Amino acid sequence: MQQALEPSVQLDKFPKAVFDVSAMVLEAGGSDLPILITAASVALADAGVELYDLVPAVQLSKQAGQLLLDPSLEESGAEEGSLLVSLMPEPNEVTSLTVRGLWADSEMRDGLELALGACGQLKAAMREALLAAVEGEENPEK
Amino acid sequence: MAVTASTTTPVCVGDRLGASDAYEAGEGVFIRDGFLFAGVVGHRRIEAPRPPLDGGKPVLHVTTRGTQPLVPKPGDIVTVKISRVTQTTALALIVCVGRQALTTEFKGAIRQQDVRATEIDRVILYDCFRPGDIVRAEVLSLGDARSYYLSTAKNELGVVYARSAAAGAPLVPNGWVTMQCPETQTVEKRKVAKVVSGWEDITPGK
Repeated sequence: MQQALEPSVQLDKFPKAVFDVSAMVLEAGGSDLPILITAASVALADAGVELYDLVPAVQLSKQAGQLLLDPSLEESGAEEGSLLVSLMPEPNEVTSLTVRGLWADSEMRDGLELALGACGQLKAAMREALLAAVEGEENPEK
Repeated sequence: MAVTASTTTPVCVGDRLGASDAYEAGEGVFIRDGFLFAGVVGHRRIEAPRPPLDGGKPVLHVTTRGTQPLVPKPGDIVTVKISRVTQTTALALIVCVGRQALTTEFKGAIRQQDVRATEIDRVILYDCFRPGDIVRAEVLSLGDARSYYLSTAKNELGVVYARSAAAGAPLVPNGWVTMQCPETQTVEKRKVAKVVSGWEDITPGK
């Protein structure tokens, strides 16, 4: 999680300071780590920490020639390989990439394309949630 | 901050706000590849250039709704409470940075040579600060592992509030190096800060 989130924080704005990010999993239904990364990124943004961008993360599972995005526990159990991507969409920089299993070049390409697209969609949802929170502060009666 | 929703737009981290040749970066904004991006979630606010920089670009800020985590940086004016005084250093707890109170206390140290600007080798620290004094200081550097290094070597820096050793009453400043107790009339030595009015006299040390 540190590797995924560290590049997104403007560390030079916080000299000699340590950021402690802890997460408690209440219910696990598969694809836990990317969800933790995504949630932690939103939490940092909500706390007012100066960031370069949000970090959406997705997990991809490879099974019998199919690519499954955001696999559930059962689907992860039956996988041949997995791909975990965390992305900073604005500078288009991948902050962490974890690959397990054997991937052919074409499979890797397809997998990455799918994952990066999903990250884009996820960022839009993260952005909406954060902006809704700002609006909520402005108009508490809404 | 009283900004109405009609004059500002909410922005999220990573949103592109403008080109760097049209705007200057203010708070909560960073520049990459010639464009300004928001670094925090908040409202985008444009400020016209201030008189000294007339003819410059308008400044773009993103103001957050709550308080941001704040860490002292070199050049910041901080408010500290003296915890211990030795022969060479006065140890202090940094309580506020600028106008904002901190949630965690940081440790700071005022070394003998940083107390004042003149005759720095003949400073007697016990005649400048006492434990419990509230002092306005400037952060010199990140210091060592234990504490930030602070300086009071300016007219507007130094003791702003102290209690009398005899009666415990707040001391009244009597000059640059003395303060007097209003009840017992005893004079105590301190490195006194000449505070003109609020925070307007402090120019940012950028």
